[in-house]
Amino acid sequence: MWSKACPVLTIGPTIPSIYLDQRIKSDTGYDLNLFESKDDSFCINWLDTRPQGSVVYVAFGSMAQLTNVQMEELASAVSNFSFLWVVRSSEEEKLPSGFLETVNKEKSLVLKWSPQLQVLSNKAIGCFLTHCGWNSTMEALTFGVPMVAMPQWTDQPMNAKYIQDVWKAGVRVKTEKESGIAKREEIEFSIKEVMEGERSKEMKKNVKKWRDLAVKSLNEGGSTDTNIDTFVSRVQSK
Amino acid sequence: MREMEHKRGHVLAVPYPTQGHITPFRQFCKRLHFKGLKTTLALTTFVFNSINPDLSGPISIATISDGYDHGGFETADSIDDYLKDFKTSGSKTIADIIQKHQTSDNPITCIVYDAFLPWALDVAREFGLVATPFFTQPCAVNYVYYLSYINNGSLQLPIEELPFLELQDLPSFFSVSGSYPAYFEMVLQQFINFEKADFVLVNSFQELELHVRSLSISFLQFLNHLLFLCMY
Repeated sequence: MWSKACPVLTIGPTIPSIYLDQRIKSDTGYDLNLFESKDDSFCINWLDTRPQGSVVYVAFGSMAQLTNVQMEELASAVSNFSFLWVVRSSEEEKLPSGFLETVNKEKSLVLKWSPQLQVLSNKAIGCFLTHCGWNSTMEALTFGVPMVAMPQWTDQPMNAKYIQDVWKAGVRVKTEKESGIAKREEIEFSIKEVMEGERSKEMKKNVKKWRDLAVKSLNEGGSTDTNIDTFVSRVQSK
Repeated sequence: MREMEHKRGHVLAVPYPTQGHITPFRQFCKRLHFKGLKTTLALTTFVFNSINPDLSGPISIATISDGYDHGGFETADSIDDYLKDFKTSGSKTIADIIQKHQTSDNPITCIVYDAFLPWALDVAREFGLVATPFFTQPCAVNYVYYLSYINNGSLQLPIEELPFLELQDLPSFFSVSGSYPAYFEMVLQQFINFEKADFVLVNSFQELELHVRSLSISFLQFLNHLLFLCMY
């Protein structure tokens, strides 16, 4: 009976092959970008100078808009760590006044956009403070980077729940009931949980497991590879 | 020689025109090309002009219209207007691409369309093509939207198969009641015709979704699909 129904085929993760199964040599990165990323090599060179697992990578994707209050809480919290924070041009004015000038350039960096795949695959990254968009979530899972989840809207809260309790690959920052704001203390607490807390080791072990499973699914005979073959035969037989 | 005459198959991929959707579609095209299919990625004229993509690669690029060729989404009066105009202009311009290719060596045989654009199924059927929606969100999220779709936009907790989900864990349309009604409608409309499609493609991998193994067999079609997925 099921065979009559249109089957669901999982065909991901859609992350460039070079980072996972390495079967498609030409697939070395995302190559259609709506945002300009001028500082790519500067950013990666900087990361290369930082100690392993020491940098908090903060990015909220291409769409999410934070409130001024949330920006201020975030700025205060991340200042206690070494960080790489992506603040899109349209979000920049929400930063507390004078914040950019106070950033310790040895320890931290603020960019308008980043080469996220290269960043997440850099050994200097200790955790990913993310809005939990599905692409970012899968990137972190398959690059073995544990997450601090700060979901904003649409499907993101559910992804955050899965990150914390199903995939056990991070923690979700607690927010205030009324305002929905994640306060600085909570953000700081969650970052510490993921970077150095008791559960930190477990989370790091889990993300490694998801990475291995992602590679397996893309390799010949893996679940994704098989599904793509099923799809391709149907298209070719038309 | 017979082999040589065999049609290669040609997929037209139509993402919703934002970065988070264009990226997985583009990447999926690369996988299909690796498996021997010809692929054409459809971008809106506005996005095409914004990106100015390199056209030399193995994946062809075609332009379609969302009705806002000069300013894109930002210039629409409302989300609702944008989605309606996209349907009108998109249906027409996708049909144009298909017709243009009909007499070529590689006619389009399949449309992989963003699940946010369910009207593309009608275009595919009009030309007798394989039709497959592509969900850019994970199975469990799709399932929650599906439950709400069959329940006229509401959702009751606990969800039997996903009992660990509380209100704060649900997509924001449920926890922030009344927020972004046009987008909420869009995520529900993903399910108006998906059972007529040839496949449902999901940008995830099976091992991540295995928790749905515990879902009950008595549930409706979509759930059967999820089970089907897990029985592989």
